[in-house]
Amino acid sequence: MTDFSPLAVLRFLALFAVQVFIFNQIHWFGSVSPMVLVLFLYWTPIDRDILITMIGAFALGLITDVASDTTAFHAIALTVGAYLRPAILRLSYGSSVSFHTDSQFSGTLGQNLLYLFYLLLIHHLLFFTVEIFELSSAFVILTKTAIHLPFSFLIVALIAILFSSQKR
Amino acid sequence: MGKLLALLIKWRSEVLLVFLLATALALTVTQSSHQKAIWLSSSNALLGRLHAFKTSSTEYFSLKKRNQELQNDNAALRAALYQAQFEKALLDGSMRLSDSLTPYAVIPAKVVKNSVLRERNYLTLNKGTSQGVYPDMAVISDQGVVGIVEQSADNFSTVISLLHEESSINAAIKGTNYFGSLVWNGQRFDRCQLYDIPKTAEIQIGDSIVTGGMSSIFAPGILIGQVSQFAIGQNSSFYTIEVSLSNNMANLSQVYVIDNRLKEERLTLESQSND
Repeated sequence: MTDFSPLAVLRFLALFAVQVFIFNQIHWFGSVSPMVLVLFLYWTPIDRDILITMIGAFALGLITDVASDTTAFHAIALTVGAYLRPAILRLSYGSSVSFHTDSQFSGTLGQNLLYLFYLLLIHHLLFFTVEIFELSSAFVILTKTAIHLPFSFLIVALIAILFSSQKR
Repeated sequence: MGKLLALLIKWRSEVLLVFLLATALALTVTQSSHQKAIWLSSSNALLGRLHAFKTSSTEYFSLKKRNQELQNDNAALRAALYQAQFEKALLDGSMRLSDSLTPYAVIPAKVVKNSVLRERNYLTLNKGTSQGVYPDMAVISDQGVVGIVEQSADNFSTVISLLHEESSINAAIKGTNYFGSLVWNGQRFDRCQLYDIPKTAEIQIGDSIVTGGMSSIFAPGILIGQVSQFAIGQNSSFYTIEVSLSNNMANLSQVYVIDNRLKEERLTLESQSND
């Protein structure tokens, strides 16, 4: 359960760099920057221990936050995403996914995209909730999520499909 | 004890979740009250260098435009210089102002990181305490006001942008003595809001908004933007003014940090008067 393969470390660093130095610099329509960190959860093998996944997600979120002055927004969003990952997996691939102990497990394209979408939805909702930090502004949180989500999904799905040889 | 341990193991993922979330939330809360530790922001040395490297490797693509901006900047400075020399010669040809009498010092700096999409936006500059940049100094560009230095490391500083929900700057309508507070509502990065201008003031769309003299940080009269909309609320005696910023906050490169050398003297005097 503790295989920190060079590939996993490379992905971790690459996601950090790509988010901070490329996607944070993009401002589509003046206000939209895609957020791609959930690919970390997407690429983590499904049999990876949840504690390891949570700590990894927290660490990736925190270093990205430090570099983008977003305090701990990514860290919170990714940690909760990692905690909910088993449930999201069951929701996307059906309950039989829990019987797979195979790291090379891969669903159909539709299932994969659904899985990605759920991960992104949770990440974006939490990210903007923590950023705005006022539940009275729920409408602003939902609007921001609704505006950012399609762009992030487009980018994340493209990256996931392009690098699909790296099975989760 | 054994039971407790068993319980902890059974709920280990929940325990870890609570622990990690508590850590992250603690960071968030302390951060927003400006108590943040210096290593937890982009002004720390390692990340500062990384951002500086990234900026230096991509700035070649906009060199031509930057050159043009610098030339314009130079031209304006020369014009001001000639004007000042002319006026000085006119008044008294022999008088020389000593350096210590000049109230404002200017330190040029480069923006190595900038954000406009958050509710609380910060910039990182490539100058720090080694170059004389300290917290609470004003940051402007040739187009207008940018923000206020929040913290300084040796060679980098972070700046609270105008586009920060807690930023509040004393601003006035150019040519009048009406002043109010300029704040940002977190929506458009090219607009700020000016409050507390009394409705007796006559304003028009397109009027220039400049820094007011009530601030100990900014020199009075630095351009902020133009009035793009204004309204008076019911039962209110003050305007709510929408200000279109003269700076393109999303595209800042060369900025100037302004050190008001008389600030300490003024603050000391003011606090003595309040006692």
